[in-house]
Amino acid sequence: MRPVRANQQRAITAVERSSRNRAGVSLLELIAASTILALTLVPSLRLMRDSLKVSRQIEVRECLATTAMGALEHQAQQVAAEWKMASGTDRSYGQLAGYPQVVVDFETSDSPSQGGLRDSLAVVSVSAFEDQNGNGRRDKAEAEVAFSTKVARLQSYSLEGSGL
Amino acid sequence: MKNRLCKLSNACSQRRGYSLLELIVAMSLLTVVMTATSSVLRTSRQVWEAHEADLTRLQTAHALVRHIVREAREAREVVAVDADRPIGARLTVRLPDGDELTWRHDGSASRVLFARSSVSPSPEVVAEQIDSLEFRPALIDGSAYQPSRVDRIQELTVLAGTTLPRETPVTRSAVASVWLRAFGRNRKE
Repeated sequence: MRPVRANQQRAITAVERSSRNRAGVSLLELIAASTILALTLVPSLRLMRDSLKVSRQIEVRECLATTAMGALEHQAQQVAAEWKMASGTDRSYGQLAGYPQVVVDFETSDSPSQGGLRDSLAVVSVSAFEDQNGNGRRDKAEAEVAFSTKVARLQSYSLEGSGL
Repeated sequence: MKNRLCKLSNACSQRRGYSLLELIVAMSLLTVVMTATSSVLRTSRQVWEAHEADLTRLQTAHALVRHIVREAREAREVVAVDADRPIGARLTVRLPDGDELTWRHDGSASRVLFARSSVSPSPEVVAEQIDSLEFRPALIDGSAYQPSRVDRIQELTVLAGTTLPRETPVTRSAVASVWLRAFGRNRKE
C-alpha cells in the first residue's frame, strides 16, 4: 500500500511541476523570441543604415576631389594666362555634376605673405566643400577637399594669352 | 489524494497540446512577423545593392575623368576633339614624345575606349556604363572655340555622365578641367 501511495505522490509532483513549467513557458518564449529578434534585427538594420550613410559620404567626397582638381587646373590656367589675382566662389562644377550643394572657393595671390612672389609666382588655392546648409560658406561640419599649387609667371604664355 | 490527482490529471489533459484556435493564432502571428522581417531585410538588401551599383557607376565616371585629366595635363597639343558633343565624342592629344592618346565614347555600348599609339593602335575599354562624354575646349585668349583653332586649345573641361538606374533615372556627371600647358607651341612654329 505504501509503494502505491508513494507512486501517486510522485505522479502528482511530476504533473504539478509539468503544469507549472508549462504555465510560464509561453511568456518566456515570447520574451526570448522578441529579444533574439531585436538583437539580430536592430543591429543589422543599423549596420545597413550606417553603410548607406558612409556610401553617400564617399560619393560626395569623390565629387569634391574631382571638382577641386578641376577647379585648381582652371584657376592655374587663368592666372598663367592673365596674371590677375582673384578670389571668389564657383558653383558651376557642382551644378554640372548634379550636386548643386558642391561649392568651390578659390583664391589666387602673388602676395609674399601667402607664399607668392609679386608679379612672379602666384599661389592658387581651391577648396571644394559640401554646402549642406546652403549658407554659401564652409562650416566646420561640412566635408571639404582643398588643394593648392604655385604657378610661375611666364612672359611668353601671357603674351600668347593676350593674343600677341 | 485521489481527488487531487484526478483534478490535476483533468487539468493536464485539458492543457495537453494547443487548441486549433491557438495554433492558428500563433501561426498567423508568426507569419506576420516573419513576413514583415523578411520584407524589411529584402528591401534593405535591395537598397544596398542599388546604392552599390550607383556608387560603382559614379566611381567609374570619376576615374575616367581623372584618367583623362592626368594624361592630357602632359599633352603638348590637342590633335582632334569633338567639342560639345555628349554622345560619341573623341579626343586625341599628342604628348611631348610624339605619342598620341585617343579617347572615344562608344554611345551604342555606353563605354569609353582608349588607345595609345605607341602601345597598340587598337583601342581598349577603359570605362563602362558611361552614357555621355563631353569635351568643352577653351582657348588661351578666352575667345570662342573653332575647329580650325584646335591647336590653340589651352583648357578642356571633361564631363562624363552616367545614368543611375532608378524608377526615375537620375543623371550624375564627373566634371573636371585640365590645363594643357601647351604654351609656346604656336610661337615655335
